[in-house]
Order: sequence, then structure tokens, then C-alpha cells
Amino acid sequence: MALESVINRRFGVLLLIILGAFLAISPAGLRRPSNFSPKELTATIISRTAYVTPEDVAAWVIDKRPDLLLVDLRTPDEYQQYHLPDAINIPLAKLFDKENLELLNDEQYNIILYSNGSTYASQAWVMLKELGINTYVMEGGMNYWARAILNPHPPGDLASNDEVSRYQFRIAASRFFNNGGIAVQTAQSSQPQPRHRKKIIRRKTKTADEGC
Amino acid sequence: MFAPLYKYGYFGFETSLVIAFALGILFGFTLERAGFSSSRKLALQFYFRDMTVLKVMFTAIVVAMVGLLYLNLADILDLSRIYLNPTYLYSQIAGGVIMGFGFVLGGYCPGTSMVASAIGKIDGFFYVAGMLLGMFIYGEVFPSIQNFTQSGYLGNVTLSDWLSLRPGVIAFLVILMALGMFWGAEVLERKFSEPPEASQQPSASPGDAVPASR
Repeated sequence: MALESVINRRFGVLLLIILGAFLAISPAGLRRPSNFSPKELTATIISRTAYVTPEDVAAWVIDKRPDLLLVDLRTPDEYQQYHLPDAINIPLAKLFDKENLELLNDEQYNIILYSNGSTYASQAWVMLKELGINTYVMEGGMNYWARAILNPHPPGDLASNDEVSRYQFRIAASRFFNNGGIAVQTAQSSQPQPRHRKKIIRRKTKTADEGC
Repeated sequence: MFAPLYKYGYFGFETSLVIAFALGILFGFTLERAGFSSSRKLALQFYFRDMTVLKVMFTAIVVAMVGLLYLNLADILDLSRIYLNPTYLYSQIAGGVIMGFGFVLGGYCPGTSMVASAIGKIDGFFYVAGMLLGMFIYGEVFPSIQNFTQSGYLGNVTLSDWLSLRPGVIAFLVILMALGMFWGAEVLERKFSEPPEASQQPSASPGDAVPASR
């Protein structure tokens, strides 16, 4: 009887130590539920709700929106050359470093990712969504920004009112973002416009004065 | 991951109360079968003569800890959704000391006093009455001690956060500590027990048939 109890006890101790040792080397206690659901992701991508246009971003920066966080996913060199005002630089390679993830996990911010085109930003969006971090992507990236905001081209003859008002906004935004630095090719350098356009240009200069 | 079942919406609040009730009955039954309705047995813990309380409690801790961690490892249980009591360091230390006094003097802790009352022991009833009186006094003096009760706030901190070790490593250390304490408990019992004493209730030592005090 006593021997059996001793064997039982030794077996119990050994079993417990083995269980504990296995736990010590395993990632027990740290597993989280995975957020990956392909159907939801695809639906969100198709609905394009995660995309914001550069015009939207320009408006938010001009309004000095406090909850805005712009994340530049390009290399530090490209960031030094030109970056959006108040944008922080997290190169894509370092996106999932611990400090950067903690920064992105802060729920008080609306995070907008951008890169040179849309590719890196979109891919980063998918990966962050899997980790449960919600972000937005600036469509077209810096390429679109440079062409549309910094250097807006006037719309053609058959442009709709929407396009014309968008162009006016871009002109105003380009003044704000260039603030005398890079030369801006404005509408005056292009071909003469029909009469109704001249009226619109006059109104445009008034709004630019108000902005300044 | 589909557990904790309540947090994943498998049942609602009312059902959770019914389940809590059933678990409470099971808990009381288990305590009584472990011999914890005897105030003598419980108080002897502090004289190092009957270490059953320590063995049962640490068995429960080890089993629950190992079970939870393995469930988390198997992608069944999400540990971050389990409620943790926030830690108020100084007030909880003071509360522990007060409870320790009551435990040694009265021979019950709050849960076992309910068990004793349930089987009809008069001292269990008095203990429950004392507990209610203590709650009343606490409520009356609360405004003057409020600052103290909320001092030392550390948040919902666990051993793993505090020592910056992975939960699995903490589990292994706790297991080693528990095994050491089981062995130490037997040493203490042999040293302090009264020679002609025959224990009246079966002791619930884990995994072995060696009697508690001889």
C-alpha cells in the first residue's frame, strides 16, 4: 500500500513537472483570437470605404484636424525629400516593430497610410487589419499628391462642375502646401478660356485671399 | 477561439446567474467533502498541524492555471477576455491581514463559514453575522478611509506582467513553488503535530495516501 502511494506520488510530481516545462517553452497564455476573415476583408476592399482621396487629406491637414495621424511608409530618404505636413515616417520594413505597433494601436487617432503609389499602403492596410488595427489608405499616394495638389493641371474644355470645383480646391491647397517653395504651374499659363471660366477664376482668387 | 463562452455570446446574463448558482452549489459541496466545514481543521492550518488548506488551495491553483493555459494554447480560450480584479496594493494587504486575524480567531474564512452554516453549525452562523457586521462597519467608515482604499493602484496586473516573463514560464515557476510547498507542508506537519491525535475527517491531499497528521 505504501509503495503504491509513493509511486502514485512520484508519478504525479513528474507529470506536473512535465506539464509545467512544456508550458514554459510554449507561447501559452499569449495566444489571441485571429481577426482574419477573408470575406469581410474582400467586402471592405470592394466597398472602398478604407480609401480616402488626397483632396480629403489636404482638407483635413488644412483644417488642422487633431485626430489625424499620417503615416509615411516610404524609406527615410524619400521621407526627407518631401513628406506631408506632420506625417510620421514608418518604413514598411519596420511597420511591425514593437514601438511602431504600439504607436499605431492608439485608438484616439485616425491613421492614414500613404506611400508612393497605393500598393505599399494597401498591403499594409490588409496586414494591420488582421492585427485588429483599423486604418485608411490615401489613394494614389505621393504620385497623385504631387500631380494633383502640388501641381494641379486645369481641367479640359468639357469638364463638369465637379471637376472644376475640385480644381479650384486643388489650386488653393497647392498654395497652402507649397507656401512659396516649389513653383506652381497655375491656370494662367494655359490657353485662353471661354467667358464663363473667367468668372469662376475671379471667384477663385477671392477664396484664396480668404484662405491666406 | 470560442471561450470564455459568456464573452462570446453563447448564453446571456440570466443564464449566467443560473450557472453561477450551480457552480456555487458544487463549490460548497466540494469544500464540505474536503473537510472544510470543520473550524478546527481550518484553524490548525495556522498552527502548522493540519496543512490541508494549503494543499487543497494550491492544488486548485495549479489545476486551474495549467488548464487555462493549455486551453489557450489549443486556441480555445481567449485569456484577455477573462476579468481580472484590479490591484490596490496597500488596501489589499491591509484587508489580507484583517482577514487572517479573523481566520485564526474564528476558524473560518468567508466561503467555509457558509459551508458550516449550511450544515447547521452554530459557530458558522455567528461567523456569517460577524461578516455582515464587518461589511456594515466598512460601509459606515468608508468616506474617511476612501483615499487609503484606492491607494497603490497597479491596474489589472498579473505575475506575468510584473515579472516580465511569459505566462508559461510563470506557470512552471508556480508549479515548482507549489511542489516545494507540498513537501514543506509535510515536514511542518511531522514537526508540529500532537502525538496521540487521530484526525476525524479524511484529508484531501493530492495524489497520495499519506495521512495528514500522525
